[in-house]
Amino acid sequence: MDLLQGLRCDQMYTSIIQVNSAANPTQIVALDHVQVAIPVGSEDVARAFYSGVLGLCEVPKPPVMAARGGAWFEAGTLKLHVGADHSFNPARKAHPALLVGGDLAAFVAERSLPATWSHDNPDVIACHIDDPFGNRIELVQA
Amino acid sequence: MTTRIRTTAPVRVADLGGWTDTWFAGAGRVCSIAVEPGAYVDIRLAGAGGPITLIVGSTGERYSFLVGESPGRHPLLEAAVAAMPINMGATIEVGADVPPGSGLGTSAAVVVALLAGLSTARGMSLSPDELAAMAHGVETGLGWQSGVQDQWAAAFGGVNDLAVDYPMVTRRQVEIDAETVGELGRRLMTIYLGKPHDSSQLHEEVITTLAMAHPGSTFRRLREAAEDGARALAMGDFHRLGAAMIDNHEAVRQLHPGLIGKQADLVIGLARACGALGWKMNGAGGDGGSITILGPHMPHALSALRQSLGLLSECHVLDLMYSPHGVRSTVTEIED
Repeated sequence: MDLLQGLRCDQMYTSIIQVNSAANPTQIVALDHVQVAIPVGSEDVARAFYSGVLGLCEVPKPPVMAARGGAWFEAGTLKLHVGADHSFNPARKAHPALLVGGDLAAFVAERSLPATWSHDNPDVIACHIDDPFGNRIELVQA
Repeated sequence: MTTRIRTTAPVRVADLGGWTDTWFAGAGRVCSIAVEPGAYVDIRLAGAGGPITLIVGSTGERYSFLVGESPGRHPLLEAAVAAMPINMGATIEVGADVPPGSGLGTSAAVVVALLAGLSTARGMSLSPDELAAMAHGVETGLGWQSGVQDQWAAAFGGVNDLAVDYPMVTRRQVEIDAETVGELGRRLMTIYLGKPHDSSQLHEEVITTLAMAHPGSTFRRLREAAEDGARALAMGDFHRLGAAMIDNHEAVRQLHPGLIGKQADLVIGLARACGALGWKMNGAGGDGGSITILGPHMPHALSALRQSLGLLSECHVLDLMYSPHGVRSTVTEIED
């Protein structure tokens, strides 16, 4: 580890990855899916919102997993899973950010989504909405 | 020829101030919106002195009895027949075009319609006030708990602003313009939550608690919601109406958390996420029943909300429209 002394944090991680990749070429390459928790028994409402309102497409879960409830949605490369949680509490801070093609403001207005617009990052047009269960969802203009 | 008397009475939604129209609330204030189709009664008169044959539309159950010898199978209906006796036999079909137990004041509307139909058969002309008071008396005469708002909504229709000094009611008709009527038709959505509200035990528990504790601040909040709602409707201010509905809804939750069921909360969550301006559990609340939602203004958004509500497999949106009219009877002579 002496070799890493004096390196900045990002340089250090890059170096670790390079060392590990050389010995064993495994690495995290991308995000596969994101999961949002919902109350048990509320799959219908989740479908109505994520599919009916946001326009994601529901895809079947594998049978064994389907028995546990929840639902899977996709749009393009996005995979969003909703999972039924017996001790559900809405995620008010942690959130998925969904890219919206076209005009984000129009997307929000057409659906009358109660949105809180964020101007903190001048490089992106983004807002936050709540799903029916109070989970925070960010929408970002693609 | 047979004389046929067909009577209809509206039910009501968005009953702001409900729970304050009761014996234990002290001064009450209620504002509600009458909608149709609601209750119906179809009376076919027969020969003098014959039995009454009652047909219950929801189940198809049919049975006969003599006035004064009520068998007690449907105590409320039989008590209404006894309260307005006719000196001839009749076949009376009673029913409603909304699901039973939907919390829309259907029982009261049925009784108002039944009394109106029977009074027409007797050649009497009772005012809506008289019909409402008599219908309320039929319920309380059985020893049942009953507020007064539902009977007045069914008797008068329209938007009622009721000041209640139980059981006395002073009614003011809230005048709403054609544009507001149109918007109500477009934006008010009443969703049946998939099962009848079966909450008599819960309601008894709540009544016992309220009669002892008398939560004045919550009752005041409910009365204020009714006043706000009436003003909002008169002005066509839907944001204000929505706020009054939400405040009322949360005040009911404050009375007892069990009055707002889990399914209602899920539907509200969906409505809120879709930009609805307001929502309120109809009637006294509890598990099941129905909820009325005030949708957003924009047609696309309203359509998205309606479609998303339509995706809920256990619930369905009731096809109701604003009813400017109260109970009405029409008499026809039909060939035997």
